[in-house]
Amino acid sequence: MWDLRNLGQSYVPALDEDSIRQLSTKAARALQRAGHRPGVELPVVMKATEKCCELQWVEYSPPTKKSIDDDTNVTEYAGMAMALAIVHTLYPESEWDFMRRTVRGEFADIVLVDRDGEEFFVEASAAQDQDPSRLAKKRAQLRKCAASFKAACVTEFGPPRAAYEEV
Amino acid sequence: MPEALRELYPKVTQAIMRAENAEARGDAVAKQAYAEVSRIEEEISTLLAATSAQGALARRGAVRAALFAGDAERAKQLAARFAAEPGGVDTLRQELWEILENAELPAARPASDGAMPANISALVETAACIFPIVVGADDRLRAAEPELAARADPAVVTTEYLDMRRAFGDFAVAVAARAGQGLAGERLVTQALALLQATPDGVDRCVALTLDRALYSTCRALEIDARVNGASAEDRATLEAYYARLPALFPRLAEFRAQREFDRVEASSAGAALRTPLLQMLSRVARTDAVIGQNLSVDLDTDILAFARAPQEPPSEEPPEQIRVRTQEHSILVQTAKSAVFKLASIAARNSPLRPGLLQELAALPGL
Repeated sequence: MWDLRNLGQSYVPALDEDSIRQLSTKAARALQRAGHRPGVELPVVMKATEKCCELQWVEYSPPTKKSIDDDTNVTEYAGMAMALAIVHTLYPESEWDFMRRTVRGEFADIVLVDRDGEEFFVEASAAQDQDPSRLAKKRAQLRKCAASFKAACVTEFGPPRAAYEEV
Repeated sequence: MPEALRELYPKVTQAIMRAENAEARGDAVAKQAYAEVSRIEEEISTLLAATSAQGALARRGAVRAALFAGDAERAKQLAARFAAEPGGVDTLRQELWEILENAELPAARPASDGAMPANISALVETAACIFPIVVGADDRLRAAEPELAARADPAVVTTEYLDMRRAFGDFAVAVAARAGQGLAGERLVTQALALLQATPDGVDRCVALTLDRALYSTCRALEIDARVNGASAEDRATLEAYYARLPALFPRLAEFRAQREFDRVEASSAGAALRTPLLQMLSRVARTDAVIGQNLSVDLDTDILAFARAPQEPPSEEPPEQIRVRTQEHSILVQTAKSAVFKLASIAARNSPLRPGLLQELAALPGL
């Protein structure tokens, strides 16, 4: 089970609270907007294999006092949240933690780091609809990145599906 | 990881997300937020070598964020400073240059509902912006196209030209990456790089005829490499499309090509019998591996084409002066072709099964 409720504590403790809240909330909104409820199964394709995980999150309901940022970058940040969850699930022992977000236009969206200082560049992409070419595009983008450890993660919310590939 | 970096990474993450959210809301504070991002990235860059992945990332981030903040001057200064760093790597320099060249203008980003951003009119009016307005591949400014198309703006031409230059750059890199199979491949790489060099940074400094010839020669090199190494037909189609597009950017080039076509009147049937053996000979020589290997094939191909298209006999209705010019031109072409054949004959004879005696027959042809 992937639990977006504990995204920060469980997956990326180094990420600050406000950023965690944004990523979790926006992931919930993106999933619900596509008609899903907590407990939905998310198939993740990794090369030839497919792994299915149950997704849990705190249901989003519009707060009485919304943050000004609640409606912005929903799909993009949801994609990042999903990528963090997927990386953590694939590498439970490696303890990849959040290092930094990158400025738009970079090869990768986020950089993770492990205890030994090894860096992991992750390009996260998300969309409501299916686009079979998206992973290939992201892969091509990452190939230009000089880092040695890098991966592309593409999430589609309706129907839910994710594809992950190291480059 | 140094303690200072431990503090700066969360800061830059938060600053980036603040800027992205403000930008998505269309909030004017987005620029200030990006200025803050640029400042933090610059601070990070002082702690990391440009050769490290993170150091390069911070440097690119500082330049990009300055551009998003609308501070092109700072972006240029940062890029210049980073590029001049001792021990810096060429890849980073190239990336910084590309960031400046491809600079997006976030202020011109269409609103999420597809409406024209309020400041787009100002953007269209402000031809003084130092970066070209990117029209075409980038959807962000698609909404502005009608307004841009309505004016004869050098910036649009510049954009089209820079788009082409980028395409040639990508082409040259792609060719360089997969070539190396034999001399035809090397020839193609040389020609692709020559094409890139013939495409200066701006329209103003462009010599259209040089570019025209380089583009034409690269198409020919691709044609040869396709025969020898199976080069991509798609690349050739792309380059030929650019060749077709070029006169749209340089109207005088269109005139030049039109004149060139006019000059190349089809040969009369009376002269065809004389010309055929020479053309056959030239074609055969041009396609021998040795000639291709000597990087002479394309030049010879050009000679063949010129010779084949040259008027054998001047049209009788032309004024005497033009007849004289055409006769001279024809004579020069024949001499050039003949000279090329003999120059290459010794190379070709060693490497390809040329029919014995062909050169002698050729030399004995009347009128040559």
